[in-house]
Amino acid sequence: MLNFLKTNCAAMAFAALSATSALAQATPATYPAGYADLVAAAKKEGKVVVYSPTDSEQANALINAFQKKYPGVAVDYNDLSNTAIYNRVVSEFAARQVGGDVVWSVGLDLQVRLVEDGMAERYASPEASNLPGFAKYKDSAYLTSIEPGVILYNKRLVPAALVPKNLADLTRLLKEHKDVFQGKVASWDPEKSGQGYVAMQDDMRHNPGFWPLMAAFGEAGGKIYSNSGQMREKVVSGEEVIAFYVNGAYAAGWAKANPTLGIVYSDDRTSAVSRAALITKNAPHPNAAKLLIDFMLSQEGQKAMGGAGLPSVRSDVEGVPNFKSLNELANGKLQPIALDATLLDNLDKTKRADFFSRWKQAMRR
Amino acid sequence: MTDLRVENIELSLGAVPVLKGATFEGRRGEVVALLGASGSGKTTLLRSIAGLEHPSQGKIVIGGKTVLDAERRFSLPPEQRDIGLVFQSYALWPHRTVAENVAFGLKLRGVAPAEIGRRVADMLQRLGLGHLGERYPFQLSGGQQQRVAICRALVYEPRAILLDEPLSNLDAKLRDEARYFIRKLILDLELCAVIVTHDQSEALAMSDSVILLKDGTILQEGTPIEIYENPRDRYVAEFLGSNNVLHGEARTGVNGAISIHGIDWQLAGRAQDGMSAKAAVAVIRVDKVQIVDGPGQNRIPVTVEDSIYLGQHWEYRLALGGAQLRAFGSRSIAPGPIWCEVPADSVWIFADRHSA
Amino acid sequence: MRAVGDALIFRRTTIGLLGLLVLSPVGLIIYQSFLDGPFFFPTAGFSLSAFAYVFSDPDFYRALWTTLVFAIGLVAIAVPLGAALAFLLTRTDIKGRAWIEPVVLVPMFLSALVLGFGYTVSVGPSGFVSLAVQDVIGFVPWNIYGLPSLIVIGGLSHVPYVYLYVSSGMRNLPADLEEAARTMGAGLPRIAMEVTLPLVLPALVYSAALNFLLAFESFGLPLVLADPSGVLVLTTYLYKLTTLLGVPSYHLMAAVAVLLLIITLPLVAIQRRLLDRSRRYATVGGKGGRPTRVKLGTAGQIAALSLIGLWLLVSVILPISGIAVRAFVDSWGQGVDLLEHLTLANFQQLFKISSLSRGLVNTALIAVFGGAIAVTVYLVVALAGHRNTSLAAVALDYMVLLPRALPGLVIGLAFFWLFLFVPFLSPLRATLVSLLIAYVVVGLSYGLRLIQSTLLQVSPELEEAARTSGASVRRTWTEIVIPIVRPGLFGAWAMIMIIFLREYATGVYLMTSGTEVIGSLIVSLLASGDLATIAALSLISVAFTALGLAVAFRFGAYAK
Repeated sequence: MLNFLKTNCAAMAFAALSATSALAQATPATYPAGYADLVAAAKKEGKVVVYSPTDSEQANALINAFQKKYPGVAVDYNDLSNTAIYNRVVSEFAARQVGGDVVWSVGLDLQVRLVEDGMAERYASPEASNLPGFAKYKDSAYLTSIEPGVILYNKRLVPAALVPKNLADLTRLLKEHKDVFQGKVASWDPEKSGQGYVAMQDDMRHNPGFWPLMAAFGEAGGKIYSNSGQMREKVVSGEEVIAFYVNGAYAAGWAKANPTLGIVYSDDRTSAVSRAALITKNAPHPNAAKLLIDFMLSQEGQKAMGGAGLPSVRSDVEGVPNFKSLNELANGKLQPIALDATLLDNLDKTKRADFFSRWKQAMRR
Repeated sequence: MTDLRVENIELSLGAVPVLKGATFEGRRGEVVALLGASGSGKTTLLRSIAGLEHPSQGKIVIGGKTVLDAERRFSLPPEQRDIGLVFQSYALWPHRTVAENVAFGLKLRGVAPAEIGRRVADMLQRLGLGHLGERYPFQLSGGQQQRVAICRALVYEPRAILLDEPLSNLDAKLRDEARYFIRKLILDLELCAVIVTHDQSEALAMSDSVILLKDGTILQEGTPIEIYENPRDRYVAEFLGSNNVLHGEARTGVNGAISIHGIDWQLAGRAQDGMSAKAAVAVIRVDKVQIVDGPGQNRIPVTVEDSIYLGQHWEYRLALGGAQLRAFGSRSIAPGPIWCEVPADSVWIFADRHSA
Repeated sequence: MRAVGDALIFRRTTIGLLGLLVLSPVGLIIYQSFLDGPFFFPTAGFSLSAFAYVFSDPDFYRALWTTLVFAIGLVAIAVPLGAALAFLLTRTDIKGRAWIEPVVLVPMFLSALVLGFGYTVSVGPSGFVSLAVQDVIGFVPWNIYGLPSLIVIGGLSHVPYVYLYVSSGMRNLPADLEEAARTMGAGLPRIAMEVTLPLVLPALVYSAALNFLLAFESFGLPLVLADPSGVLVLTTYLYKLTTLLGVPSYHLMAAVAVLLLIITLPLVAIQRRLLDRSRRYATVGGKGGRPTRVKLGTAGQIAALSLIGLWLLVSVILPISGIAVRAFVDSWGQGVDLLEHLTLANFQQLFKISSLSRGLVNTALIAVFGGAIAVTVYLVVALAGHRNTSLAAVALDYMVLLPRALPGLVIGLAFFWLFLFVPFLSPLRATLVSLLIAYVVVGLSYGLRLIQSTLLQVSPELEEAARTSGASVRRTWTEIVIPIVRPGLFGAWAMIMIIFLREYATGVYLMTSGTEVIGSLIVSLLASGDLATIAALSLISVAFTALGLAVAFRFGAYAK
């Protein structure tokens, strides 16, 4: 019975193992000379365990590409929420039972926190030089994507003339066109969503129109959700007609698949969240983890993710949405959230409490 | 030889004492009846013997083996006491056939299967159930079920057989039959049997020794004749038979003879409980009262209020001052004054603790 | 004094082990509530700060008040409706009883999460039913988000709990009581109000107490129906605390869980006492043939059937059709022709993504095999407490209640920690065994009660007859008791299967790659918002449940 119950995730790995051909991986010239040893060590470890909130659909693209390149290393993918990931990492670390190798999460503040608390392994990826400066932190954590916050709306229900061009525009429209928008606007619930909180904090810091927008949102009877998918569902059905700060990486795919949906990149400033990857301290499969991180940041890995809807953080990845192409869409005003220590402010209890009380006041809750 | 000895059993349920020191013995080839009203503790006493209740005091020895010794905090579980118990409800296992029900005790004792088959068949045959072995309990009549229950308790030849109201679920006709056959079976098999009943005629007819319990105490123990004809306690006297009760004042004559006196009557009698109190009560079996024409020795004047036809005989409703008396006779009597006579040894005089 | 050979060692070992199993997670949570950080942080110290925070948080009082209003409202709706339903189905000659009886219980077995989700798709602001109504009358006359609709939907979906207990009370009533009233000229409503209902008053009071408690524990419905409009109940307040401070604040969660425990434990205890009383009451009549049924007449039949039909429409058909519709389309809502958007892609997704397909397999495994193991465990525990009046049995009674009074989410978290920090348990963490153990504990009070009541159906004399025939306690159990209750055990198995199928909160923290289960997958998908997949999973889970129910009814097991 026990055998029967045991995880069957290894099955995939065995299948892959048998197909292993001793192909000489084409490693870029920038990689250190001993990289083949790392690959060999990773294969010896046989698998890499990933904790991530990324939807399986996107994650699968990465996993498949990785396994095509390194057939000997299975990916054990755990789909968890941001806070569940953090919970698991710190608990496992404390119990000396570290199970996850790579943590890949949108909870950027929590990721920086893990680095600061010594729960991340330092690893200077040979790919780091290809990343923009805002995308790396202390040789430990790396951003893997660029996911702009966009306005998502229902084309059937919002007349073309009333489609906002930016957030300030939205603030005005919410006040002026109650017939269309009243009770039908959606955004994040920062109390429940780490991603939403990060996005809103960033906008608050850089956008003077943030609090007026919140006030207008509250006035319009706005409704709040804890993820982009719910907002999408509501906007598709017409329960809401417009939503803002929606994750543009997902939204672009939805708009392509469903002609009802339209998206807007604010033309004055579009902030962007991202997914940060790091290796856990005392990871059970450290070499495989390094291999995966390098792959995620490489041309190949970025292309695979980009193809599945996670735009590349690099500007030199062709054929998929990347930092450069998104910046063009955003009128050159794309402002990604940097992976740095300011994110730790997000976790400051007093600052959080202050923010929530002001936000609730604006939202009339 | 004594096969069962019960010594000074005490048992309480919470704060309520159920048994207050019961002691008796049972011998092989003898039936002991535990008789009493409901709540007298008779079933609890039986279940204590079986090991299904846990007395706080006392000692029980079955077939020479001590199964309970409360002082030494020793108690054997029911399965090690070598007894058979027949339940009031029969408690036949519904998922087993008649033969399987009966065979269970033998199987538990490690008897060889062939031997089991033979003994079960024998026992069923003996009780006229030979053709019913493959049936399930629910397919049997009440009388058949009762006999299966008896078979089940007897087949492994226990040292003592305990029967808890075995006849109460049978209708009247079957009951008279069963009374006889159960007693005969017990005597034939030379078992030591204890039977619990609330029915006095059952106790009298089936047992060699009757133990009458009240509120957890044994009031009297004796042969059926002793206990019926010479009750040593007012409760025992009233519990058995059909009785008249007269209140009065007891007086002891110069020769030690005792009598009971009412306002305008008096009866010579027998002191049954070594009474010392003045206030007394006389218990007289209804069938000992005779209607007579005039005054005389141990006769009292009464008024006939009614005659009721009961088939076998007539019952007379008699008034004696404020008290009521009953008597039997063979003819109807017109209402009016008349006399009745009671033999002195049928007037049982007890202390009247209630009115004292 | 107790006789030797009463399986004392077995009884004490079993109760002791169970104590360990139940008290360790509960104890861990209580311990955690008195710390100022996660218990595994070296910096964590004893402190009342968690309670201080909760008691100074206006949201806590708001959630407490809302929970109270919700509970009272739920009881006020569920009890009268459930009682009426019980009366109609047990005491009258209503038509179609044979198929109404099983269907009436369905809402009880649906996961609240699935139920709530179904409502948003069918009668939500852009639900297909709402839109159809809007087409006719120009507006949608209801709003399913917020406290009022939470109360109504909660009330309607809890009707089966009332029905179950009240109807079993009513079945035992001798018919002559009602016949006596009829001969005196009382009409149907009078009979119901003045004769039947007062006789089952204990069952009514009990089911009111039970529903009050269930309302306090309710998580899925408030999460889906109240949360979006910012209305919090205690369980969703607790859930919010996982993210509120950015870093999971376990001490706060634990403090709220302990407060919930303090509130609900007396309720559970009262509820148990009431149950014992209502049992005693209900068995007064007991014997006698089938009750003759009160005649409804044509008008009465129509009225009664429409009442039941309306209730079934709202509490079963609306949510399930919502799920079914959403599972087969990729787009819905205003101006969308559902027929144009029909697709099987949502189901194909389940088989493409390995965690989802594993979830289906695991759920089936844990329901079928795990359910069987759970029944065995409950049977062993029930036997340990069976015909046992010692202190240990009383301890058992109360121990069983503890996990009941804590939200599944918290129990799951506690087990996650136990499997992580207890050395010899850690190898089991990534297997279904860890999940199963948590499920067994969460289902304990319900499952044990189910088995206990089955065991009590065996008359004590049948056991005593075995003992006096020479059978030890163990042989009495294996050869007499268990064979007699076997059909009841199969019924219990089916019921536990359904309970395990619909469970969602327990696995949220505990499940890991390879041990996914449908319920917890739905929670995690809800977090990422993949509603199409949720619908497909929900529909499959409803189908599983229907299958389980069919098995349960086959064995004639009513939940008790």
